[in-house]
Amino acid sequence: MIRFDHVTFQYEKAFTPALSDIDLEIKENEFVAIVGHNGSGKSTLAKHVNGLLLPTQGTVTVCGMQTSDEDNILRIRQNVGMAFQNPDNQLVTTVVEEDVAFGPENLGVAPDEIRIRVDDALASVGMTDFATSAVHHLSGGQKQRIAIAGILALKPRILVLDEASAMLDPSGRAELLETVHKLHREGMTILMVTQYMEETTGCDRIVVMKGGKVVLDDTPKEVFKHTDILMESNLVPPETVSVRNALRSIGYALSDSVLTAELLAEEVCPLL
Amino acid sequence: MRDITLGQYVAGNSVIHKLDPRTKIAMMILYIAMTFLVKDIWFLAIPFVYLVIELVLSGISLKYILNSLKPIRFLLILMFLLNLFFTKGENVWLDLGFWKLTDEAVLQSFFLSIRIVLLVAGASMLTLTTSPIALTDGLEKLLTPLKIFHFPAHELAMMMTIALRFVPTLMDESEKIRNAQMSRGADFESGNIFKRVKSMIPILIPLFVSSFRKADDLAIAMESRCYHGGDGRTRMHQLKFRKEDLFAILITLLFVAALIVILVLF
Repeated sequence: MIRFDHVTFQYEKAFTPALSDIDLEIKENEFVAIVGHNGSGKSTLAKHVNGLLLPTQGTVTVCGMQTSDEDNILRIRQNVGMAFQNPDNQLVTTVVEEDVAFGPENLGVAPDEIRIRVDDALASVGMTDFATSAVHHLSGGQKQRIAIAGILALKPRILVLDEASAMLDPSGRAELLETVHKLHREGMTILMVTQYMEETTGCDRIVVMKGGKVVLDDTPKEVFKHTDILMESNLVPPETVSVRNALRSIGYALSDSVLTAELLAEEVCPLL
Repeated sequence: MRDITLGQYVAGNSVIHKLDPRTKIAMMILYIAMTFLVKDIWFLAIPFVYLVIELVLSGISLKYILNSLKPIRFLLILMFLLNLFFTKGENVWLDLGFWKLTDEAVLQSFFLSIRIVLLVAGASMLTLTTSPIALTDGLEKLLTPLKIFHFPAHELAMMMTIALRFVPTLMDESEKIRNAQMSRGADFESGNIFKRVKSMIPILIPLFVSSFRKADDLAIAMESRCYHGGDGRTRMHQLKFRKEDLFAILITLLFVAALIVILVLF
């Protein structure tokens, strides 16, 4: 569904490329987390998916369309919804439902159809009751859900979250993650850029980036075996994984699939 | 602090509130024309009656109208006095040697003052009964025909929308910066006016920088949501011109016509 073919990207005036020779394929309805430290190129990668940035070398193909072709850009952006870090800086209008309507209005969708889309989008992020509220009265987590509703109203097939949880408090982050998982179950392809390793345990696949290169690309179960590579990339594995490893080192036989607190409890209890 | 809005909209459900914003803008323009057509103090009664009817129908309390007049109170007093002193007339009421109080001067002073009060009160009726968003929509629609002269109607409306959206956000931001500077020992309260104005600089500069960053973020977010200018754009909320709107316009025109007839006859 998304294909990065030998993608290299260098910002103007930069000495080193932000992305170098990335090869990546993301399939339909996959939930992929992209993790990496500051400056690893993860956000740059995300901005390539909807053509906000165009590769210096190589090609990015989304739903069969190349991002470098300007005629495709509107159709690509309709298929790839993108949520950003700062919840305040991505809402355009004062009233919630008007903001959700912004995307379809840009596409020239008929007014009645926009109404239906807005109501559906608000329902699927659980914000129907706030339809006529002013956005500055909402919490960070709620604003982020409105931003996602605004994207859903475009009926995209891929949702890219560019560190969308970074500025949220723990409850806002949980709210957002739950929404994203629900959308994934409903068939959405998800690309989630994040610094929080705890958020990645429920994904299908984790891509670890360092210095513009992919250093690991596997299921969470496999990725968290390589604690050393994660540490080298300045990433801290989730606490449950650290606890698991600590228990292992003192002789408890715990399996690799122990990634969440629930699974940890399940395997530890019989051993006590 | 976060709840201040541009203008002074008072939410309500009256006939006036429910009128199409375009109707209300047209009504205001006609009303202003009326007050300017009048050249005699007694005929100001016509726009006055019109304003009273609108006020009663809108259910807006007189207090808001009086509030909207507050900022111009000094201007009013000044205008009144100037006219009182410098209007020349024949019918002298009082002769102080260096200055004569005349019949004409008193009338002229009252006439101009009342006219300004009526103008400001009428304009406030528009902003009191129309939400800024509706006002923006209405302006965009009304200005759209000017596009043939390359007038950026959509861009202007979009700019107003974004400005309205970011007023509370920037208020929050300036409060945060202010607190941050105060915790570093900045003093905003003491000193004379120049000192205090100067002490605003450490708030304004970070606020400007952060606004630019916000603008950049917002532009990227808007592009990601397929924004490509006003061409081919539709709106979810369609403005509807209903029979109430037609009725309101007709009544306003009736007032204008009546005024013109009276002006011609007398």
